[in-house]
Amino acid sequence: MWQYEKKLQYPVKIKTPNAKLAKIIISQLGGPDGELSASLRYLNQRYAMPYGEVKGLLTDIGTEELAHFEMISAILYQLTKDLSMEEIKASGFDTYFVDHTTGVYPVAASGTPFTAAYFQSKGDILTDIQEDMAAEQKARTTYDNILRLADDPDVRDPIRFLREREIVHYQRFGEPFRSR
Amino acid sequence: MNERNMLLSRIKKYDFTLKELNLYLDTHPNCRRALAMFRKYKELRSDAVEEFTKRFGPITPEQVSDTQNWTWVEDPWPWERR
Amino acid sequence: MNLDLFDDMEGIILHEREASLVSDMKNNNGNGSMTRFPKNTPLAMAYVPFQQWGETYGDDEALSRGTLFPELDLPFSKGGADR
Repeated sequence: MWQYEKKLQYPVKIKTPNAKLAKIIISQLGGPDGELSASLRYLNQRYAMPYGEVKGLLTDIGTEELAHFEMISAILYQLTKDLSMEEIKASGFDTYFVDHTTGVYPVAASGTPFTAAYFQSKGDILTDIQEDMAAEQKARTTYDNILRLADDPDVRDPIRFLREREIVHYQRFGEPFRSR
Repeated sequence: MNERNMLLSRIKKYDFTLKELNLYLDTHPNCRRALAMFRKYKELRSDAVEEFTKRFGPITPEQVSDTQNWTWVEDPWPWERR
Repeated sequence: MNLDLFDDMEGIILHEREASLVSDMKNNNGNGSMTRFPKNTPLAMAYVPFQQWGETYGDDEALSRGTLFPELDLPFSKGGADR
Protein backbone atom coordinates (compact mmCIF):
# COMPACT_ATOMS: atom_id res chain seq x y z
CA MET A 1 0.00 0.00 0.00
CA TRP A 2 1.04 3.57 -0.38
CA GLN A 3 2.15 6.19 2.07
CA TYR A 4 2.12 9.89 1.25
CA GLU A 5 4.54 12.37 2.77
CA LYS A 6 3.61 16.01 2.86
CA LYS A 7 6.71 17.33 1.11
CA LEU A 8 8.07 17.46 -2.42
CA GLN A 9 11.08 15.24 -3.13
CA TYR A 10 12.91 18.33 -4.49
CA PRO A 11 11.87 21.97 -4.01
CA VAL A 12 9.78 23.83 -6.58
CA LYS A 13 9.87 27.61 -6.05
CA ILE A 14 8.80 29.45 -9.17
CA LYS A 15 8.49 33.22 -8.84
CA THR A 16 7.25 34.11 -12.32
CA PRO A 17 4.09 32.61 -13.82
CA ASN A 18 4.48 31.53 -17.45
CA ALA A 19 1.56 30.00 -19.29
CA LYS A 20 3.60 29.27 -22.40
CA LEU A 21 6.02 27.13 -20.44
CA ALA A 22 3.16 25.41 -18.66
CA LYS A 23 1.76 24.36 -22.05
CA ILE A 24 5.00 22.54 -22.79
CA ILE A 25 5.87 21.12 -19.40
CA ILE A 26 2.42 19.56 -19.09
CA SER A 27 3.67 16.81 -21.41
CA GLN A 28 5.64 15.43 -18.49
CA LEU A 29 2.36 15.16 -16.59
CA GLY A 30 -0.03 13.58 -19.07
CA GLY A 31 2.10 12.93 -22.13
CA PRO A 32 3.39 9.64 -23.56
CA ASP A 33 6.77 9.77 -21.83
CA GLY A 34 5.75 11.62 -18.71
CA GLU A 35 5.83 10.77 -15.04
CA LEU A 36 2.31 9.36 -14.81
CA SER A 37 3.01 7.06 -17.73
CA ALA A 38 6.24 5.91 -16.10
CA SER A 39 4.64 5.31 -12.72
CA LEU A 40 1.70 3.30 -14.03
CA ARG A 41 3.97 1.32 -16.33
CA TYR A 42 6.27 0.16 -13.54
CA LEU A 43 3.59 -0.36 -10.92
CA ASN A 44 1.57 -2.51 -13.33
CA GLN A 45 4.52 -4.51 -14.61
CA ARG A 46 5.73 -5.56 -11.17
CA TYR A 47 3.08 -8.25 -10.67
CA ALA A 48 4.32 -10.54 -13.42
CA MET A 49 7.96 -10.36 -12.34
CA PRO A 50 9.49 -13.57 -11.03
CA TYR A 51 12.33 -12.08 -8.94
CA GLY A 52 12.04 -10.12 -5.68
CA GLU A 53 14.78 -7.73 -6.77
CA VAL A 54 12.80 -6.77 -9.86
CA LYS A 55 9.48 -6.52 -7.98
CA GLY A 56 11.29 -4.25 -5.53
CA LEU A 57 12.88 -2.12 -8.22
CA LEU A 58 9.63 -1.63 -10.15
CA THR A 59 7.73 -0.82 -6.94
CA ASP A 60 10.37 1.64 -5.76
CA ILE A 61 10.91 3.43 -9.05
CA GLY A 62 7.15 3.40 -9.75
CA THR A 63 6.60 5.04 -6.39
CA GLU A 64 9.33 7.61 -6.97
CA GLU A 65 7.67 8.51 -10.28
CA LEU A 66 4.49 9.38 -8.38
CA ALA A 67 6.61 11.88 -6.42
CA HIS A 68 7.82 13.27 -9.75
CA PHE A 69 4.25 13.41 -11.02
CA GLU A 70 3.59 15.56 -7.96
CA MET A 71 6.59 17.79 -8.70
CA ILE A 72 5.42 18.42 -12.27
CA SER A 73 1.96 19.26 -10.91
CA ALA A 74 3.59 21.72 -8.50
CA ILE A 75 5.52 23.31 -11.38
CA LEU A 76 2.30 23.68 -13.40
CA TYR A 77 0.39 25.00 -10.40
CA GLN A 78 3.00 27.69 -9.80
CA LEU A 79 3.41 28.56 -13.49
CA THR A 80 -0.32 29.19 -13.85
CA LYS A 81 -0.96 30.99 -10.58
CA ASP A 82 -2.42 34.50 -10.88
CA LEU A 83 -2.29 34.69 -14.65
CA SER A 84 -4.05 37.63 -16.28
CA MET A 85 -6.61 37.03 -19.05
CA GLU A 86 -4.22 38.80 -21.46
CA GLU A 87 -1.44 36.32 -20.65
CA ILE A 88 -3.82 33.39 -20.99
CA LYS A 89 -4.97 34.55 -24.41
CA ALA A 90 -1.54 35.59 -25.68
CA SER A 91 0.18 32.34 -24.71
CA GLY A 92 -2.29 29.96 -26.33
CA PHE A 93 -3.05 28.57 -22.89
CA ASP A 94 -6.68 29.57 -23.49
CA THR A 95 -7.40 26.22 -25.18
CA TYR A 96 -6.52 24.42 -21.92
CA PHE A 97 -8.07 27.10 -19.73
CA VAL A 98 -11.51 26.78 -21.32
CA ASP A 99 -11.79 23.12 -20.22
CA HIS A 100 -9.78 23.20 -16.98
CA THR A 101 -9.35 26.81 -15.87
CA THR A 102 -6.04 26.60 -13.99
CA GLY A 103 -6.84 23.18 -12.62
CA VAL A 104 -4.25 20.45 -13.14
CA TYR A 105 -5.32 17.77 -15.64
CA PRO A 106 -3.07 15.20 -17.30
CA VAL A 107 -2.77 15.95 -21.01
CA ALA A 108 0.15 16.05 -23.41
CA ALA A 109 1.37 19.37 -24.83
CA SER A 110 -0.77 18.55 -27.88
CA GLY A 111 -3.87 18.47 -25.68
CA THR A 112 -4.35 14.69 -25.98
CA PRO A 113 -5.55 13.35 -22.63
CA PHE A 114 -3.50 10.74 -20.82
CA THR A 115 -4.14 7.16 -21.88
CA ALA A 116 -2.94 3.70 -20.82
CA ALA A 117 -2.08 3.24 -24.50
CA TYR A 118 1.12 5.16 -23.66
CA PHE A 119 2.56 2.21 -21.78
CA GLN A 120 2.68 -1.54 -21.97
CA SER A 121 2.74 -4.31 -19.40
CA LYS A 122 3.64 -7.34 -21.46
CA GLY A 123 4.04 -9.90 -18.69
CA ASP A 124 7.49 -10.87 -19.94
CA ILE A 125 10.50 -9.83 -17.92
CA LEU A 126 12.85 -9.17 -20.84
CA THR A 127 10.25 -7.23 -22.80
CA ASP A 128 9.07 -5.17 -19.86
CA ILE A 129 12.58 -4.24 -18.74
CA GLN A 130 13.42 -3.21 -22.28
CA GLU A 131 10.27 -1.05 -22.36
CA ASP A 132 11.32 0.52 -19.08
CA MET A 133 14.79 1.38 -20.34
CA ALA A 134 13.27 2.97 -23.43
CA ALA A 135 10.78 4.87 -21.26
CA GLU A 136 13.57 6.40 -19.19
CA GLN A 137 15.42 7.54 -22.29
CA LYS A 138 12.26 9.04 -23.76
CA ALA A 139 11.61 10.92 -20.54
CA ARG A 140 15.21 12.13 -20.48
CA THR A 141 14.90 13.41 -24.05
CA THR A 142 11.69 15.22 -23.15
CA TYR A 143 13.49 16.92 -20.28
CA ASP A 144 16.35 17.82 -22.65
CA ASN A 145 13.74 19.50 -24.85
CA ILE A 146 12.23 21.37 -21.93
CA LEU A 147 15.70 22.62 -20.99
CA ARG A 148 16.14 23.75 -24.60
CA LEU A 149 12.93 25.75 -24.35
CA ALA A 150 12.97 27.15 -20.81
CA ASP A 151 15.21 29.99 -19.60
CA ASP A 152 13.78 30.63 -16.15
CA PRO A 153 16.30 29.25 -13.60
CA ASP A 154 13.47 28.53 -11.13
CA VAL A 155 12.02 26.15 -13.70
CA ARG A 156 15.33 24.75 -14.95
CA ASP A 157 16.37 23.67 -11.47
CA PRO A 158 13.66 21.07 -10.70
CA ILE A 159 13.62 20.00 -14.38
CA ARG A 160 17.35 19.33 -14.21
CA PHE A 161 16.79 17.21 -11.11
CA LEU A 162 14.01 15.21 -12.75
CA ARG A 163 16.15 14.66 -15.84
CA GLU A 164 19.02 13.27 -13.78
CA ARG A 165 16.62 10.84 -12.06
CA GLU A 166 15.76 9.35 -15.45
CA ILE A 167 19.42 8.62 -16.09
CA VAL A 168 19.79 6.87 -12.74
CA HIS A 169 16.59 4.87 -13.35
CA TYR A 170 17.88 3.79 -16.74
CA GLN A 171 21.02 2.40 -15.14
CA ARG A 172 18.98 0.56 -12.49
CA PHE A 173 16.65 -1.01 -15.04
CA GLY A 174 19.66 -2.32 -16.95
CA GLU A 175 21.13 -4.01 -13.88
CA PRO A 176 18.62 -6.58 -12.57
CA PHE A 177 19.97 -9.67 -14.25
CA ARG A 178 23.21 -9.29 -12.35
CA SER A 179 21.75 -8.47 -9.00
CA ARG A 180 22.47 -11.56 -6.96
CA MET B 1 15.22 30.39 4.93
CA ASN B 2 13.18 30.02 8.10
CA GLU B 3 13.65 27.22 10.62
CA ARG B 4 10.77 25.13 9.40
CA ASN B 5 12.10 25.16 5.85
CA MET B 6 15.64 24.45 6.99
CA LEU B 7 14.53 21.41 8.94
CA LEU B 8 12.33 20.19 6.10
CA SER B 9 15.26 20.64 3.68
CA ARG B 10 17.40 18.48 5.90
CA ILE B 11 14.75 15.74 5.85
CA LYS B 12 14.57 15.95 2.03
CA LYS B 13 18.33 15.58 1.85
CA TYR B 14 18.32 12.48 4.03
CA ASP B 15 15.31 11.03 2.23
CA PHE B 16 17.00 11.48 -1.10
CA THR B 17 20.16 9.70 0.00
CA LEU B 18 17.99 6.91 1.40
CA LYS B 19 16.06 6.68 -1.88
CA GLU B 20 19.27 6.47 -3.93
CA LEU B 21 20.59 3.75 -1.62
CA ASN B 22 17.22 1.99 -1.80
CA LEU B 23 17.39 1.77 -5.61
CA TYR B 24 21.07 0.81 -5.57
CA LEU B 25 20.36 -1.96 -3.05
CA ASP B 26 17.46 -3.28 -5.13
CA THR B 27 20.03 -4.26 -7.75
CA HIS B 28 22.96 -4.78 -5.35
CA PRO B 29 21.21 -6.42 -2.38
CA ASN B 30 24.42 -7.77 -0.84
CA CYS B 31 26.43 -4.55 -0.89
CA ARG B 32 27.51 -4.09 2.69
CA ARG B 33 28.78 -0.55 2.22
CA ALA B 34 25.45 0.58 0.84
CA LEU B 35 23.65 -1.16 3.69
CA ALA B 36 25.87 0.57 6.26
CA MET B 37 25.27 3.96 4.71
CA PHE B 38 21.54 3.20 4.64
CA ARG B 39 21.52 2.42 8.34
CA LYS B 40 23.37 5.64 9.15
CA TYR B 41 20.96 7.80 7.16
CA LYS B 42 17.92 6.03 8.55
CA GLU B 43 18.93 7.21 12.00
CA LEU B 44 19.69 10.76 10.89
CA ARG B 45 16.34 10.87 9.15
CA SER B 46 14.44 9.54 12.10
CA ASP B 47 15.90 12.22 14.39
CA ALA B 48 15.21 15.00 11.90
CA VAL B 49 11.60 13.87 11.40
CA GLU B 50 11.03 13.65 15.14
CA GLU B 51 12.27 17.21 15.62
CA PHE B 52 10.25 18.51 12.68
CA THR B 53 6.96 16.91 13.61
CA LYS B 54 7.31 17.98 17.25
CA ARG B 55 7.73 21.63 16.27
CA PHE B 56 5.93 22.02 12.96
CA GLY B 57 3.37 19.27 12.61
CA PRO B 58 2.93 16.00 10.73
CA ILE B 59 4.46 14.85 7.46
CA THR B 60 2.11 11.84 7.41
CA PRO B 61 -1.38 11.63 8.99
CA GLU B 62 -0.17 9.04 11.55
CA GLN B 63 2.24 11.61 12.98
CA VAL B 64 -0.51 13.92 14.23
CA SER B 65 0.06 14.35 17.97
CA ASP B 66 -2.18 17.35 18.60
CA THR B 67 -5.12 16.23 20.69
CA GLN B 68 -7.27 19.28 19.94
CA ASN B 69 -6.77 19.86 16.23
CA TRP B 70 -6.39 17.66 13.18
CA THR B 71 -3.22 19.41 12.07
CA TRP B 72 -2.75 17.15 9.05
CA VAL B 73 -5.05 19.31 6.91
CA GLU B 74 -3.33 22.60 7.69
CA ASP B 75 -1.64 24.72 5.04
CA PRO B 76 0.79 24.94 3.43
CA TRP B 77 0.61 21.98 1.11
CA PRO B 78 3.77 20.98 -0.78
CA TRP B 79 2.86 22.37 -4.21
CA GLU B 80 2.21 25.86 -2.86
CA ARG B 81 5.10 28.30 -2.85
CA ARG B 82 5.80 29.20 0.78
CA MET C 1 -6.96 -18.08 -17.80
CA ASN C 2 -5.04 -21.16 -18.70
CA LEU C 3 -1.37 -20.54 -19.28
CA ASP C 4 -0.14 -24.07 -19.84
CA LEU C 5 1.07 -23.01 -23.25
CA PHE C 6 4.26 -22.31 -21.33
CA ASP C 7 5.42 -25.64 -19.87
CA ASP C 8 8.33 -24.03 -18.13
CA MET C 9 6.25 -21.48 -16.17
CA GLU C 10 6.92 -23.46 -12.98
CA GLY C 11 10.65 -22.96 -13.33
CA ILE C 12 10.01 -19.27 -14.02
CA ILE C 13 12.56 -19.42 -16.84
CA LEU C 14 10.88 -18.28 -19.99
CA HIS C 15 13.89 -17.72 -22.20
CA GLU C 16 17.09 -19.58 -22.94
CA ARG C 17 18.91 -16.29 -22.73
CA GLU C 18 17.42 -15.59 -19.34
CA ALA C 19 18.63 -19.01 -18.17
CA SER C 20 22.25 -18.24 -18.96
CA LEU C 21 22.02 -14.87 -17.20
CA VAL C 22 20.44 -16.49 -14.15
CA SER C 23 23.33 -18.93 -13.94
CA ASP C 24 25.72 -15.98 -14.11
CA MET C 25 23.77 -14.41 -11.24
CA LYS C 26 24.01 -17.59 -9.17
CA ASN C 27 27.76 -17.87 -9.71
CA ASN C 28 28.45 -14.49 -8.18
CA ASN C 29 28.24 -14.06 -4.41
CA GLY C 30 28.34 -10.52 -3.10
CA ASN C 31 29.40 -7.61 -5.19
CA GLY C 32 33.16 -7.87 -4.79
CA SER C 33 33.23 -10.45 -7.54
CA MET C 34 30.77 -8.72 -9.87
CA THR C 35 32.36 -7.48 -13.03
CA ARG C 36 31.00 -4.70 -15.22
CA PHE C 37 29.71 -7.26 -17.70
CA PRO C 38 28.87 -10.95 -17.20
CA LYS C 39 31.29 -13.55 -18.54
CA ASN C 40 28.64 -14.76 -20.93
CA THR C 41 26.83 -12.12 -22.93
CA PRO C 42 24.31 -13.93 -25.12
CA LEU C 43 23.27 -12.19 -28.29
CA ALA C 44 19.94 -10.39 -28.62
CA MET C 45 20.05 -8.91 -25.12
CA ALA C 46 20.51 -5.38 -23.84
CA TYR C 47 23.17 -4.79 -21.18
CA VAL C 48 24.35 -1.87 -19.09
CA PRO C 49 27.68 -2.04 -17.27
CA PHE C 50 27.01 -3.12 -13.69
CA GLN C 51 27.68 -0.23 -11.34
CA GLN C 52 30.17 -0.95 -8.57
CA TRP C 53 30.27 0.87 -5.25
CA GLY C 54 32.61 3.85 -5.40
CA GLU C 55 32.62 7.54 -4.54
CA THR C 56 29.45 9.13 -3.26
CA TYR C 57 28.42 12.77 -2.97
CA GLY C 58 27.65 14.29 0.43
CA ASP C 59 23.92 14.47 1.11
CA ASP C 60 23.63 18.19 0.21
CA GLU C 61 25.31 17.77 -3.11
CA ALA C 62 23.51 14.50 -3.87
CA LEU C 63 20.10 16.14 -3.66
CA SER C 64 21.30 19.13 -5.65
CA ARG C 65 22.84 16.99 -8.40
CA GLY C 66 19.96 14.50 -8.49
CA THR C 67 22.10 11.47 -7.69
CA LEU C 68 24.29 10.10 -4.90
CA PHE C 69 26.83 8.81 -7.43
CA PRO C 70 29.24 11.08 -9.34
CA GLU C 71 29.59 8.33 -11.96
CA LEU C 72 25.92 8.71 -12.82
CA ASP C 73 25.96 12.51 -12.80
CA LEU C 74 25.53 13.29 -16.51
CA PRO C 75 24.11 16.81 -16.92
CA PHE C 76 22.59 18.39 -20.03
CA SER C 77 24.92 20.89 -21.58
CA LYS C 78 22.85 22.74 -24.16
CA GLY C 79 20.20 25.38 -24.27
CA GLY C 80 19.04 28.28 -22.10
CA ALA C 81 20.82 29.81 -19.14
CA ASP C 82 22.86 27.15 -17.35
CA ARG C 83 21.80 25.63 -14.00
